[in-house]
Amino acid sequence: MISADDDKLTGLPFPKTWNGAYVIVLINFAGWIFLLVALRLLTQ
Amino acid sequence: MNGLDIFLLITSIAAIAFYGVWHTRSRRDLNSYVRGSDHTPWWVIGISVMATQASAITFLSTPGQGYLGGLGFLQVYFGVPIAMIVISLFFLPIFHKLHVYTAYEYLEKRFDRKTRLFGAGLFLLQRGIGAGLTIYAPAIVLSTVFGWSLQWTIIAAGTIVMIYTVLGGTDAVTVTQKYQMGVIFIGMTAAACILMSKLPPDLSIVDALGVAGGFQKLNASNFSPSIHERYTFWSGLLGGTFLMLSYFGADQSQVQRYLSGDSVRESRLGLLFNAICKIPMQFCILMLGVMIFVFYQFNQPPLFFDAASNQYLESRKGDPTHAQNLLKYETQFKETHAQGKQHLENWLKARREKNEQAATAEFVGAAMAQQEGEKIRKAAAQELSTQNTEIKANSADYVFITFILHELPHGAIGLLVAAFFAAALASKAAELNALGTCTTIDFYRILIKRQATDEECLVATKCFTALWGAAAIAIALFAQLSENLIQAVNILGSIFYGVLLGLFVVGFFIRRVGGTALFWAALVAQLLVFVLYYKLTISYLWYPLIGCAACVVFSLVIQTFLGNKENKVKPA
Repeated sequence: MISADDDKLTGLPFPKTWNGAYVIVLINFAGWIFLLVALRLLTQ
Repeated sequence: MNGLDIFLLITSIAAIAFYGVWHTRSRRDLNSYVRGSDHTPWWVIGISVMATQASAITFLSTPGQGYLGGLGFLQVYFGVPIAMIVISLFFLPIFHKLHVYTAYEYLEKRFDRKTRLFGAGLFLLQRGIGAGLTIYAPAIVLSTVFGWSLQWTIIAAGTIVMIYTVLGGTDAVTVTQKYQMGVIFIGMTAAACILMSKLPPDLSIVDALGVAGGFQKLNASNFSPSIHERYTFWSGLLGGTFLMLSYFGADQSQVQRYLSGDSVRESRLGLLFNAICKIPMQFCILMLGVMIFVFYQFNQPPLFFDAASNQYLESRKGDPTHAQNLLKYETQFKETHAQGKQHLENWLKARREKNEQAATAEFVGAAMAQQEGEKIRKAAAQELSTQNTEIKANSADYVFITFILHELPHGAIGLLVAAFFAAALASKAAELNALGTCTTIDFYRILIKRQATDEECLVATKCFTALWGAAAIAIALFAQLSENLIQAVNILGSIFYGVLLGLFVVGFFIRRVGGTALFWAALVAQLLVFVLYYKLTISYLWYPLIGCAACVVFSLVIQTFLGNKENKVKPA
């Protein structure tokens, strides 16, 4: 069953909303891309 | 392997399998057998999703990919975060709302029975072959290296996983995966720690990264627009997103894992756990391979990594007529490696003395020696295949196991081999569980016994799981691979997944298309993917996107010809 809370809130202290959780996933991904590009440029 | 290694291998694998059977001894109804206990927490779902994807091939073959090709393979996983968000937003709420056992039930609710059977059929075909590869791949490597019988290795591993999956169902898969991932994590961490301790004492982490970067092993972001290059940022981001969307959203072996949560929240958190952890995990495994590459710049590597080639080379050493050329290559390879090593030691010294010019010159020398070494390796592999056509030197899958056997102490060897087996069993169990469930729910209950009770379906699911287990063993016994193992599995998925995903994309987003139009569109799209795969040389990562797009476009075109009378849109 999907409740209204399930739809909006993660039930975690942080991030509280699903939209916040998706933003964290995307920031984490962007961070990895940045790190990988930096690793390539710094070690060549 | 000595007694300690064998003890660790047998006890860890057997204990986890017995625990899986014991823990699920009270599961007696179809719902708990197929969906699990309904109170699986999100982190267990996350681990289960991860363990299902990460088979033994991931841990055996990926470090070899890192050794040979560097971090480039990481780009395959760039689609995971986006795919997980899309599945969390669109797929998951619908599957939970409909309370389905399999993803393909949705296709009948939204379209019609033939579309459901087509989707389920594609899954069974692709995953059935995949289950054979999952067991064959580690068996071929481990049996060759340890001298075990390939047939008995396949049969033993296949039978263990079949027994506990048949007896315990989804819950047995989930609980065993939790501990199997623990064994894998401990084994891989131990290997990484020992590897770092074996690098030259005067080589810092920064120096090691400098060596890897200088040899182009840290290029994990290739922005080339060429569609013929296998791993680029764009093929990973676009093609990879579609590959991962299809795998996590339309492959029952994954759908069944996250549907074991009792709410959308648990399933969604489990998926987002993977969205965060998948890239770092693959990065660490590839980095292990890159560091093995650095290690072998300072330590003599074998001419061939794969066991069959080495055994042939050893067996011919007393036979000068056959061995002359190969031994010549081996001597040249050793000399070239010694030159490269000397250049790198001089490079380190010049770096310490801040002599940039000398450091650059020494590194160029080391790179040239390394290239020369690879040329010798290729020539030796060619010579080997002319002498014995049955042997094909295949390095990538054997790099990590060679390092383990030659460099790790006893105990650690047993732990790592246990980790490979744990990974093989974890993913195979999920596949068998999904294959058995899909055959019962999508075929047996529809085509064979429409009025089947839940008890009859439970018995049927167990029987079909056992049958798929036997089929996977049979496929593994007859399998032969020319591709690197992890690539072979991804290529197989790429051919079928696009169209499978297309069925769900049309269902979720294009309400004007009906079942008949979609069925024929999917059929034509799948044929198109087959033709393109044999005709084109583009990266396999593009096929899920092509298959999905073709399915969507063809369905719209066919629907236009059929008109609206064929379209019976049902609410999802």
